[in-house]
Amino acid sequence: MNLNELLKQFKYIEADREYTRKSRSLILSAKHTARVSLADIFLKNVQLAASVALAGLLIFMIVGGFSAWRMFSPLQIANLDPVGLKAEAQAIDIQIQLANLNYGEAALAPAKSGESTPAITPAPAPAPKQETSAVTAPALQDNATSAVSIDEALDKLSQ
Amino acid sequence: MTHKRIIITGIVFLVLAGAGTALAASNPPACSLNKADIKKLDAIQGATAIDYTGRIRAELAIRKGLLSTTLDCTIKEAKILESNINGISINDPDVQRLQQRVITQAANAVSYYESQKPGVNDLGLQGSRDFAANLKSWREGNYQPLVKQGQNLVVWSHDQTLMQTAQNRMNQVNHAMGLLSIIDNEDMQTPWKDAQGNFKNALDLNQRATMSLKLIDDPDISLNLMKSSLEALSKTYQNFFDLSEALKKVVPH
Repeated sequence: MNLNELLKQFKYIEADREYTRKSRSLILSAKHTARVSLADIFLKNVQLAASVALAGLLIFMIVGGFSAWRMFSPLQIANLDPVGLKAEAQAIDIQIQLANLNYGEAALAPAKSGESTPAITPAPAPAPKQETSAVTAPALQDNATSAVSIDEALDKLSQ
Repeated sequence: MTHKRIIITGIVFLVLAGAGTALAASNPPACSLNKADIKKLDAIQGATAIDYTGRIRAELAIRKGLLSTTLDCTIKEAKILESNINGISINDPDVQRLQQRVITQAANAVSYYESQKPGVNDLGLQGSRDFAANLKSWREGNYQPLVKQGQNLVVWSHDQTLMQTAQNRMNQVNHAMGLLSIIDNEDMQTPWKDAQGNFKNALDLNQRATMSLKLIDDPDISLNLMKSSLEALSKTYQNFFDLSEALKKVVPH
């Protein structure tokens, strides 16, 4: 038998029938779904959240006119940004005006705008030095144009 | 899903309606005191066309009506004071005690005014005059000092927030000065030193105002200390603005 004939006989080689059956059953019974661990789910969520956050930041930077230059300007670093300072200084000015109001007006000013309280007639101008008006109770009346204070009314009624 | 929505909407509506009713129920009585009502008194006194007895009766009726309205206004006024002082957030235990004292006294004022209301119906003409005079005198001696203390508490409470904000600003600027290595710059030194001096002054005056409140000093003294403290704080911010301008010149931006 020469080599050529020997090679031609190779096409008649067959696997053992029992081995074939076992192998097929093993392959078919194997699970094809990949196992997903809790850590994988967590990692994927983190990745998704990071992607959304980065996309949001990018949109904010584009839409909001973000300026890295402004953020890192010396005034910002030194906390001497005039806009922030102005807001705080204005709050102090308002407080000074509140302290200069006549007694009664400030303490009795409604705490909330929506509160159902009588209209309190404001003083024409802050007058901190006027001792007589400083102890006058505020006028309580719905129509501020013709308001009469409680003490004015009592004064009139005592005559 | 639709049923759920209907139920939730219903619950929200009921809660809101309940809250509204509760608020309306807690509201003090309506108060309307105006010049036109006071002028009725002058008008009836000058109405010679009416006989003397009729005039006296009409004047008494007007006086009683005005006294009743005035009492409603005093009740409302005291309730607003009580509510506003109650709404202030105070951390200092000693000042909290003063706050509670003012709230209690405002509630006592409401009780006093309410106790006076039934007596109005039994008054005669001279009695109504005396009643008004007594009420005015009671207010001068009891209610108005209370209002002063109340206003001082409102102002003091706001002051503490402003002081804390300024303190934070001072700390940040102080830190940044070292960071930017500009503390030795002459143009920066003057406003910075002034800011430090004025802020120290503001803190000192605020401390004195707090002590004055705690000791229940004359309310005018406490208020003047708070005003001075605020003025010093305002100067501090002016120094900050000067510092900001100086910084612009020193550091290119």
